[in-house]
Amino acid sequence: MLELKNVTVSFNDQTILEDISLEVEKGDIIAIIGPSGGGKSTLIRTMNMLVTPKSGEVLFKGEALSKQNINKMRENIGMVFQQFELFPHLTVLKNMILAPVKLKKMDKVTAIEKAKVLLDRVGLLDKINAYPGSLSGGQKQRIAIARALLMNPELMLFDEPTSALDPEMVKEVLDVIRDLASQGMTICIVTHMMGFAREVANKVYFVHDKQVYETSDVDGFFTNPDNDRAKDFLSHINPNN
Amino acid sequence: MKAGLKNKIVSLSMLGIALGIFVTLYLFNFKAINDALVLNFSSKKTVEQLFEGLLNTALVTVASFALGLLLGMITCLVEKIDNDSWWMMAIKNIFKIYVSVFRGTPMVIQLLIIYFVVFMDFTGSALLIAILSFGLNSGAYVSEIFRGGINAVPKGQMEASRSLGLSYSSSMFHVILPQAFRNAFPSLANEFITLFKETSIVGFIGAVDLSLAFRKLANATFDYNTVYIVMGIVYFLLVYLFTLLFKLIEKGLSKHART
Repeated sequence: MLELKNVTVSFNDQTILEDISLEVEKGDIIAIIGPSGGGKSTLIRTMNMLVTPKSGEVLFKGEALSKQNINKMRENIGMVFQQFELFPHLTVLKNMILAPVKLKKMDKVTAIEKAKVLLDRVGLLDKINAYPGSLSGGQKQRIAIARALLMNPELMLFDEPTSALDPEMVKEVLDVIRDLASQGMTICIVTHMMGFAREVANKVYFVHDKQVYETSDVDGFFTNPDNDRAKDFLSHINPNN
Repeated sequence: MKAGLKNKIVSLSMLGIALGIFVTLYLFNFKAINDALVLNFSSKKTVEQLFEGLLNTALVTVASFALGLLLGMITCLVEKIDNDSWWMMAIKNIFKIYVSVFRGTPMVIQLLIIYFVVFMDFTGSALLIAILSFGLNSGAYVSEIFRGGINAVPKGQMEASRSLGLSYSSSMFHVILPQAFRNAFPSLANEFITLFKETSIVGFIGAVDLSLAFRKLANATFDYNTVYIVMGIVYFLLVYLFTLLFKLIEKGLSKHART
């Protein structure tokens, strides 16, 4: 579904990712993990071209992303951020329907109907007219997910969706992602929640030192990785987290 | 006792004392002050002239502020255009020069140069030139205010909007600018008040504003004390009124501010 071909990313002459090639297939749940500053966020941001690679190509369903088609392509690639990034001047409902209505993906009435269904699904229908400022972190993130889903994307990217949350709110957000995964959505998620990654993922991308180490043996990766750097990384974190 | 309450008590009692002094002085000099006020402000013509001056001041302030908002917005957005062709570079530089020239020289000098040099042969109303000059001056400042307002919106807002498929200009219009405007509002209000006070120099090019109307009156009655003090009080009260008004609007705007 999404393919990176010989992608190199650098900022100010500093290379972050070097010559990465990988393919996300339909239905994949991919956990992107690795040490801080290793390029995980850069990798997921490259997938929808929030970061433009210095060389190489990003292909979505076989078509290369470019400046010309990027807006159209992004309609099919949802993204959820660490800091939620709800628009504070708009109500929950307006946050959700802004893009689909402006982009003429659906008319306003349909958009509102679908927004209600999604809000119900993330358990926040009663907040439909609230402003983001009055919501908790967990609620904001669930609405950010619903907002992305309203565009009816085929791929969802999550950039550390629970890292800015208080501990007691992590579960409610992970439950929503778990629910999405069980319905067959294709997902890439950057996370520090190793337990969650091990539970839902069918592939792991271990990102460090400009490279991506890929494996589909998820249990093997967490119990006895054949990559030395990964072994070292995993030995430094709490496995029950 | 709470600091806020304490402050209220102190400021109210100081206001009371000031009023008390004022009333006492007025009572003692009742006749003198009353005579002075009657002498200066009783004729209908005087009141009409002052009112006309006030209208001109209001006109110059509001019109040039509107022009400044427009110019400031354009200047600020031009700077944000992501295009490095030769033409665009030239245009961007023109706007940069505009901002630094108008921020780098005194308003009086701009007014004099525009009226007496640039529009040397212009025969229309001096008010028009005043509006143009103040508008250009204000635009330079407003562009910086908008720039600050836009920069204060977190970068993630643009990314979130773009990742939903909205174009750069759509994101700017629906997501960034509404928040930037709210960030910029206090500074814009400040700019309006500054502009209102600064318009008192339009007399330099012969436009009759509120301050020139007062000066003409003082020149006619020779009672500079009374007229100038009343002029000061009128300006202060108007600025105070604007401040209260803007505070009220600001309160309404910040209802759904970022938390």
